[in-house]
Amino acid sequence: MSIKIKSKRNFFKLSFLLFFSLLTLDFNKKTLNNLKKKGIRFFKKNKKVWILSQNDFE
Amino acid sequence: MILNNLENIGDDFFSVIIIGSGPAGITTALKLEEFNINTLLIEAGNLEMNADSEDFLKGNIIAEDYDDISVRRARMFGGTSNLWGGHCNKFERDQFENWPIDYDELHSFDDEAKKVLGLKFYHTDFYVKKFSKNFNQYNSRFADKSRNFKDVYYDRVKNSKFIHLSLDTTFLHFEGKEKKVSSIYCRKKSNFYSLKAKYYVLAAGGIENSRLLLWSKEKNKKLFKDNLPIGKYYMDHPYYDPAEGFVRYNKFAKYLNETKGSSREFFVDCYNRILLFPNLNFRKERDIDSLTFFLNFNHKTAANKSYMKQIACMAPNFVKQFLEKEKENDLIKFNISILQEQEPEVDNKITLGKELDPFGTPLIDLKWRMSDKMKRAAKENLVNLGNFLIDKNMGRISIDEYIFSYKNFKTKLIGAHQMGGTRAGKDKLNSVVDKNLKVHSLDNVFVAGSSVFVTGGHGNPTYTIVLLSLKLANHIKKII
Repeated sequence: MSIKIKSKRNFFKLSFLLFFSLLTLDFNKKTLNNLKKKGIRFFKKNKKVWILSQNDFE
Repeated sequence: MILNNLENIGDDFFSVIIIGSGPAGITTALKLEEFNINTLLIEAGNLEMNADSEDFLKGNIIAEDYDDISVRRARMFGGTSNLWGGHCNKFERDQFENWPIDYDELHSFDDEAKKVLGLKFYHTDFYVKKFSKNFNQYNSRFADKSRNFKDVYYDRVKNSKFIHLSLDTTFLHFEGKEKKVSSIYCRKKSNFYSLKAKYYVLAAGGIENSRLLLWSKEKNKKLFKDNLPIGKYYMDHPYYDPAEGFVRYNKFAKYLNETKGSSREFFVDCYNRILLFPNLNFRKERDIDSLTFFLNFNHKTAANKSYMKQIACMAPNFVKQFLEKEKENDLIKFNISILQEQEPEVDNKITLGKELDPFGTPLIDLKWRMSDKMKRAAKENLVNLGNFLIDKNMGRISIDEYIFSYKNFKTKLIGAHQMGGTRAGKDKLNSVVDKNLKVHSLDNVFVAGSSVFVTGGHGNPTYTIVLLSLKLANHIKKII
């Protein structure tokens, strides 16, 4: 019985962790995307380096 | 008046001898004339450059990239003003913090300096306004009449009662002992003279001041007691074109009008340029010195379809963003030039070389380099300007690769603004003249010109040279 309870607890703990990990991952992805959108990209062509926005490429 | 010979001149006749008739020498002489002080102004050249001038002005350059110094100097009445474009700029107050000279005291001569230079102002003063978070906008003033001191001041000097001009008179060295100069030894044509005065002003030019002081020290070791850093902390303003780009012209103009708060279109100088420099906060945050960006809209060239398509192949959305939304002729190309402040470094220096000029004075060795800090400053400022144009969606820039690699910097003009070498300061260890421009080790010798600059600033030096010369003449009047 005690084992079952422990398993249940572990299950909740694991679920909780997994849920927040996914949330964080999603958050990170969004943040990265935002940064990317605002971001600056250096593009080399003909011995010149262009300073461009990420938006210029999408 | 003009002195054709230097025979039979009484020892007490001249109160001041000025060596060199460039902007510094002439300004000092004109101001002393106002005080009725008898001055001898000696000039090694004549009214025009001689064919053999180069033999006195050349030197051995030890640098990756530096122009021929003999073509950036002029051995003639009016000195380097004969080669000058007439740009006048004022130092920012914060760029003056290491100078021993009080900023406000020096700029109390502003009105007189403007008069000497014949400045015609659109505004009452030099124009400086905020451009963005990191950059300020300013404008050069142009010396309309006085680009050439020879044409403007020769007749006045010739007719002066108190200024005695001796042309073709080459200063050789100082004579005297124990901190006091008793005379100058010079040569007029094939004759040699020792000429006496109470005070001497060395105003022979940015490089020449160091050369002549070094040679005087070499010739007369009893005269100088201290080991002053003569020739050291030499500075210049490298000028180069490292970037180009395009802007949405109307949007850019509108932005400039908003920041400037004026009804004029946007503030460009007579060459259609916008001048920017990084503000103090940005320079402190990045630990860099200053520079001027010249955004050159000289030809208002439209960024046409073929130009834009070159960029579009690497950034596909580019065409959509700019070319399709804007009218084609609203996208204007511009290029960016930089005139860069150089940090004073002890290893950038003028020394006496082995080769001699035709009168036996050693020519110089000039050791010069651009530090990595300067190269980083160029990169940081350019990238920041690029980011700013993206933030405001006003345009884009491209920067030459060497700005990022720090290798093979390609200057377009270097050697025109010769500064430092006899820098001003309180400490004899790292300066040659004091706050009154008197040489630390000598009681009666002053130095005028850009060689006394402590820092170079981001603008052209002539305006400050004239201010310093007026201040010097004022000081001599007080002590004479």
